[in-house]
Amino acid sequence: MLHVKDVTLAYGDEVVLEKINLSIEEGKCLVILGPSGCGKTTLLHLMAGLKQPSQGFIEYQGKRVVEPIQEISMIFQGYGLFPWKTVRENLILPYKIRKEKVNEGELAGVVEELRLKKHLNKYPSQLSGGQKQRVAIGRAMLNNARIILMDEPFSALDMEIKKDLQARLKALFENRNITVVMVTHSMEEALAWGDWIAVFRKNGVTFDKIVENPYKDKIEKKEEFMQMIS
Amino acid sequence: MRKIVKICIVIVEILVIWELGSLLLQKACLPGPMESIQTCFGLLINGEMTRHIGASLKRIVLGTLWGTLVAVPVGMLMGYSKGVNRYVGSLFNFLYTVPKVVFLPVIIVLMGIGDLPKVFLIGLVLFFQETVVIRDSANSIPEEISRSMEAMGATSWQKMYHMVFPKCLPDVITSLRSSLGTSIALLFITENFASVSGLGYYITKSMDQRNYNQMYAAIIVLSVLGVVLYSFFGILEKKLCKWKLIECEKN
Repeated sequence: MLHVKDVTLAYGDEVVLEKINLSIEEGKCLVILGPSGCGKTTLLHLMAGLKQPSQGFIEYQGKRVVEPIQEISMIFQGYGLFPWKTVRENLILPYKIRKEKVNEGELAGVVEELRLKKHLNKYPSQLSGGQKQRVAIGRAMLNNARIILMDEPFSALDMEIKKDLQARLKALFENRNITVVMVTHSMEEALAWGDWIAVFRKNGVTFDKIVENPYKDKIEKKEEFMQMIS
Repeated sequence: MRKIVKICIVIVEILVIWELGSLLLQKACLPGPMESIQTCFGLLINGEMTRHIGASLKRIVLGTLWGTLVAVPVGMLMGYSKGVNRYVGSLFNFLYTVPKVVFLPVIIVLMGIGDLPKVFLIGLVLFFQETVVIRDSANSIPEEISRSMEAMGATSWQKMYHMVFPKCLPDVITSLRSSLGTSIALLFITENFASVSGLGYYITKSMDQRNYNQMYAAIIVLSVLGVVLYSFFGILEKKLCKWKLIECEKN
């Protein structure tokens, strides 16, 4: 579905990413694991069409991604919500950008699934981290995204909210057959989410390995997984 | 209710200070507040001051309007587009430091003695002040928000409409409020140049005639005009920038 082929990104002499190769199947989740500053977020930006590689290319369903496209939505670490728009206005923004009439039925469905009904008239500053996250995901879904790219989506949330939200989002993405690419530095999140896990080298720039996750949803198998990738 | 009480306290404080000053100085140039207030009501009732209020209000409103309407797109473009800022920024920074009020005689010579030069100068000064504020506001849009907009495939116009303008709006209103003192000062100055109407003209004319009660009556009206406009911008902010007020309350 989404292929990253021989992608290299360099700013002058500084190589940020080198010879990255990835393939993501529809409905699956790929987790990109690595320490801070290794280029994980940059790779997401490339997949989202927000940046262009120096070499190589990114392909979505046979077409090169050279600019942001509707089918690939990115959810930023700070959620990227518009503080001056209410939750409803944030959610319907994709319709406004596409110059389409708001599909109230579709909107109501997403609002229901993400339990945002009672927050529709609030502004982002009145929401908790988890609620902001749900609005950002709702906006991506209303943007008809088939692939959702998430940058450290749970890093700012506390443990209880994180658990509840993760379970709800997983079910939601599975039901809608949405492909997910998630960047994290947390081994637990990688194990919980990833069908495939791509591990960056310690010094960054390129992948050490890409492995199929035999322990999906089994966070207690962290040790075994660490041995597997070491 | 608490707000009304606060306003009443401020008015009483001003009147007490004024009365004390008048009693201490014992000079004709500083009559007591009650005489000036009585004169003020008299001039308002007989309509003598109405045409001056109308003239001043028209000049300050039109000047503010044109200055703001030009400053908003220019500031937004300069703040959001590096290209525009590169070409216009240096020229703008140079002109910003030049005191525009010194050009009043030139403007009067070029534009005549009607309302036009007064409106033009008020707008010109406001334009420079507001453009700087708007440029800096547009320049400080968080990258994630800007990227989100790009990721949705927004056009340049949509970015301006959905992102840059609403981000800048609270700063535009704050800038209008903080520039109000300058606008009124400019109004006073411009109305003392080749003018036969306006509160500025009326204040100076009353001073020349040694009619101090009338002079203070006009000063009171000009001050009230400032307060009314300041409050108007406050109401505008509450209506249009609810999100910002909520954010401020939270912090």
